[in-house]
Amino acid sequence: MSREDEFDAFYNASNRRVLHQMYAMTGNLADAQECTQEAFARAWQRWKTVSQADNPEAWVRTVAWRIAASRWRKAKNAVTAMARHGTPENTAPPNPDHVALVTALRHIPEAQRRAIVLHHLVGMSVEEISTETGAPTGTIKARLSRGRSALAKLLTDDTSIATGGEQP
Amino acid sequence: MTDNFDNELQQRLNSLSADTTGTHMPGPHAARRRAAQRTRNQITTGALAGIAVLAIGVIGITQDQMFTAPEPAEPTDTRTPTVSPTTPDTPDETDDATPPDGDPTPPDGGGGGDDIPDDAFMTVEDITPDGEEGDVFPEWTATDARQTPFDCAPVAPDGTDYSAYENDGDGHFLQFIEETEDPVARFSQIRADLERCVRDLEQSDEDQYTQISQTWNVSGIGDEAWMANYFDQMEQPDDFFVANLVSVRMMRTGNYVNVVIQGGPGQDDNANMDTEDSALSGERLCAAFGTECVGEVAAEQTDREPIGDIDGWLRVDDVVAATGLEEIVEGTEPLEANDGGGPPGWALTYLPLDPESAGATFFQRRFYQQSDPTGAVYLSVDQEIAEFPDAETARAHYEDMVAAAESYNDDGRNLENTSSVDEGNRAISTWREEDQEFGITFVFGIALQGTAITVVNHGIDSASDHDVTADQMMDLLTRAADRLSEEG
Repeated sequence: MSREDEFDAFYNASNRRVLHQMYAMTGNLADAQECTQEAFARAWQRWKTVSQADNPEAWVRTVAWRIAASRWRKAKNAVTAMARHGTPENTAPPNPDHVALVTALRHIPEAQRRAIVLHHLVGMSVEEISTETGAPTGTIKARLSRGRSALAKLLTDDTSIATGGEQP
Repeated sequence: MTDNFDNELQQRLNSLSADTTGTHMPGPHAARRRAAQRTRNQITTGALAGIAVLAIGVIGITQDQMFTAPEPAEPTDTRTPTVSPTTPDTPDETDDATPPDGDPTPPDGGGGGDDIPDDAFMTVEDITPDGEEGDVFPEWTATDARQTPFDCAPVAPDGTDYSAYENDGDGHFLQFIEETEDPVARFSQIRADLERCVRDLEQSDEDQYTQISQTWNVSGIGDEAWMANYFDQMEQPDDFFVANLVSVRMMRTGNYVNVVIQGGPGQDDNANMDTEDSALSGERLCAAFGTECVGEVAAEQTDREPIGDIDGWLRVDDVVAATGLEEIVEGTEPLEANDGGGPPGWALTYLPLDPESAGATFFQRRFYQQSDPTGAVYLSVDQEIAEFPDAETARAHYEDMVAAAESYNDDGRNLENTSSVDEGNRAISTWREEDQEFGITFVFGIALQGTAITVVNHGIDSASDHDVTADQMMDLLTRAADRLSEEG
């Protein structure tokens, strides 16, 4: 199998999963699509390396997340940037349940959101999330605990709640 | 929280896939075309387009290990032939490897800047992380470039021995060792030129990203050592990656100034620089000349003023004395608590109450933390303060908070009131919440002091070997109330 064939097979097998995960992490389909495609492009640029990684899909997902995060932080002053541009426009579909979930996800801090998606959607353990994100396990536990409680509140009522103990 | 919500959350997250079915993904050919186009542009322009992302989280390497290679390539023979290590004129080895002080003893490698032993330079192995089996890192190859492509980075002067590599992740490495009659002035000049150049770009309207990230004075290495990280805006950034992260490590010993530059695409620089590479570089240089010049290494960050204690807020000593968490050494700059980054309110208490909605005219948050927040167990004590127009409003809000905590029931996860005092002008209650599934416990307290309310929170990882008891929390909240009282 040629390098191109290998990469194409990898792309075809995994791109929808990564897109799905990035959608949950970003709350925006257009962003998820762009970050996912860009991550695959970068994977091809260093396919020799990525193809030998233990988990190439995790590599792509991590890169896609970093791309999304870097887009949010492109300006020197992220707060200023957010004030100027606002949060990304939500292109979520009309399904009310999905809109509610995506909206709730976007109302918790991004680090909590990422942990929630990796744990509850990707099915990763605390230790695996710690490895993938580079954060201590205690921090991951706190993010999961706080993030899940926040989501529970957000998904059951419209009351704004605090999201707890996470340094911005 | 029960498994019911976990199951529901998992199902709802899974159901989002339905939204993506109508989303067109351009396909693998398009991804390869995008990559190829970018590569062509890079070759055409010779610029560093932002292409590289190193999946640090996946392969588990640290920030200082970013630009590395698994298969060392032999360096280009850009240096003069190796000379045999010589004995220093004045032996200065010490039993405890303490760096020489007073009149520095130069390693006597000869003159002219063309006779530095090969052994004095760092090797590819030196800058390759100790990864685990199966880890793959960008591949280094030797280059004869006397400079890196990074703005402001020092350049190896003509006639100076140097070593250079680059890797397929757009990483670059350059080390030069310069012999000089005035090492003190030369060292200062290189450092000042670098800082001035970066600071000038920081002020530039055209350059949004170049900036100093961190600078450190390092003791215990040679006669003087310094290191810095800075971001360098890419000449042709792509849509996402706009900057290189460049590390510059310098030391001087005797008549030699040793400069090590390493950089590549990077967006984040959250961890403190470590001194490992600085020490290793110094060890190699001095060992090549048969001396030792690395002792007990310590680093002091110089690019930020300590924030110190702030009137009205807990002091670091208060936190350590009450909790016993000696790792906590600094407090952050207070931030607006309702910063728009999340729902408004008392984030640390987790209660659905916003003091600003209740009339507070001041609402800020501060964190007390370790010097390096990337430690294996992250410890932080967090404080919020809200100031109300009058004591009655503050008292009413405090009672609302206590009532909300008492009625808090998050799908079976309750808050336990661990202690309370009420002395009129001052009231304090402390709480404990345990999440057994994730092994995390939150302890927090609410204190009313006159017209102000403060909340102090701490998360305890079950994997850590510490706890903060109710008595300790009461002590901490009492100290917090005392500080508010002092502030008046």
